[in-house]
Amino acid sequence: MKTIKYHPNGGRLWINIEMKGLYYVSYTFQMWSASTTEPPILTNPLKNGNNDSPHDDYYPIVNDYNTTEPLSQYHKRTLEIRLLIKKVKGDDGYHLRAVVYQGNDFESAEELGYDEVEDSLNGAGIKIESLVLKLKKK
Amino acid sequence: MRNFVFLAVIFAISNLNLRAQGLTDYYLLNFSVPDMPAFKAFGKEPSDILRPSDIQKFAVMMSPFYSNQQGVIPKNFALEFSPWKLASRSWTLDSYKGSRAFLYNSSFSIGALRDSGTYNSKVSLGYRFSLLSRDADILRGARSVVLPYLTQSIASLSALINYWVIKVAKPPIDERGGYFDRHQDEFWQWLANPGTISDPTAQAEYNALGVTSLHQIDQRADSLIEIFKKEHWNASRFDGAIAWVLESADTLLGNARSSSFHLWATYALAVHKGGQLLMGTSLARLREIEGEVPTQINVNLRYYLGTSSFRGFVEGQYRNYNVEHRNDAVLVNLGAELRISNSFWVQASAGLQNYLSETEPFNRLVSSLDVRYAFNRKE
Repeated sequence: MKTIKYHPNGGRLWINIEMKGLYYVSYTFQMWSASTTEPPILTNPLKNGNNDSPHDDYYPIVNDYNTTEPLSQYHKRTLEIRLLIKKVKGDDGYHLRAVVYQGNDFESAEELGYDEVEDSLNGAGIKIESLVLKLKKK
Repeated sequence: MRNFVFLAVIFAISNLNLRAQGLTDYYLLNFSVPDMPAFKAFGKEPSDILRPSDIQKFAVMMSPFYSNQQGVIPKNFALEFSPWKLASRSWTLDSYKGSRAFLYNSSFSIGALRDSGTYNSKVSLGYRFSLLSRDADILRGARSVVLPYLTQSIASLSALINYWVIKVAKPPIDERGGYFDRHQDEFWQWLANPGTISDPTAQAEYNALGVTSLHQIDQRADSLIEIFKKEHWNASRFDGAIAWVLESADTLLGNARSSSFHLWATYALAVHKGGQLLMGTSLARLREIEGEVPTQINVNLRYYLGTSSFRGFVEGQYRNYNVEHRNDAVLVNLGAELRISNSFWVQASAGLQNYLSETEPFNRLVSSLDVRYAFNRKE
């Protein structure tokens, strides 16, 4: 699990999912709550995509049950990306990364940190990888 | 005897490929029989058509190139290597097109053969490439079929994982994130026998998923790929290759001389469901003999009829030489390609070769039998 430090008074938080390697990759993205007084999962519905073009795999990080709450409330929440990787031709290796940005628009946002995995299927035909990032305010 | 030795070499190479790949590289050969230009250049097959086949990432040589401080030609081996396959780990699926698809589907090969005659040690260097139509390329063609299934599967799985974490495993709240990754085995055990799922949404996802293991998801995805392959084994594509053969009277590389240069090109065209037409040409420029440089040109037409596992073919070949002492020839060939297990192919052909330039043209029976390892099926 990687810790991502963000500015509680800064711009919007974003996550970008990067999938490199010639495999079929599908994923879900969600944000876990850090409190018992709100729903356990604050992403509703779960974000769902794959590495087929021309899909853009970046999303604003937002509590879908309270979209206007201040960023200070995101402290200790956990982002989890589960990726289903299927071998098609060879098993030459993949590199998966989830990068968190902060800024009012994605194009100009500042990179805060990332979690990544670089591996191959090593004989398996399919595998699930997880990328996990915990938000902490600066 | 020479044919027997050649068959033994093919068997050995097949087995080496098997070991080198560790039975793990599936689908490297999508639709057809493998064909290495460095080996084809030795001219051991009656037909000179370059068959459509996909590129192998790596195979291994049988004996060293270097012995007693001298470069030597090994007895028999074949090696195919595609460096761009190794580079593909930094490519996105979206970027796999144009020059990258070309590079990914091209390879270098090297082969050696100990033959009879004065210059009996031969080594060959080859390069081949494939230009694949979308349907001939599983990575591009099958994704519109397979990715939607995988995307729905991970959505259902994630919903079930969340239910399992929150309602079944119940770790402390600050451990929920990443809990599945640390306890995957427990989740799969639960999914195999979940009992009553109290949340109707999770129950609906369980029903939608329809499987209880990652292996079953893999099998379903593979079955979608298999259906795609069966429907498109004959898809259009262009294959090209070159090879350069060196020969030596002994086994020293330093004494090797140029023997021949070869070029092949084949266009495969899907003519109807279950049918494929191969239009091929090849050129071989041989070593100078008595002041003449023989050049051999072949033109082939092969028609396949069958399925992705078994197909018969009929073929015609016209061979032309530019020198008097070699005879032009016509070959009519019948044959079949049969997959005898998940990864092994047998190709057999027999035909009649007619030497056109003889005063009294005569016919000769020719035949070929190959056993090859193909990486196109999951073990």
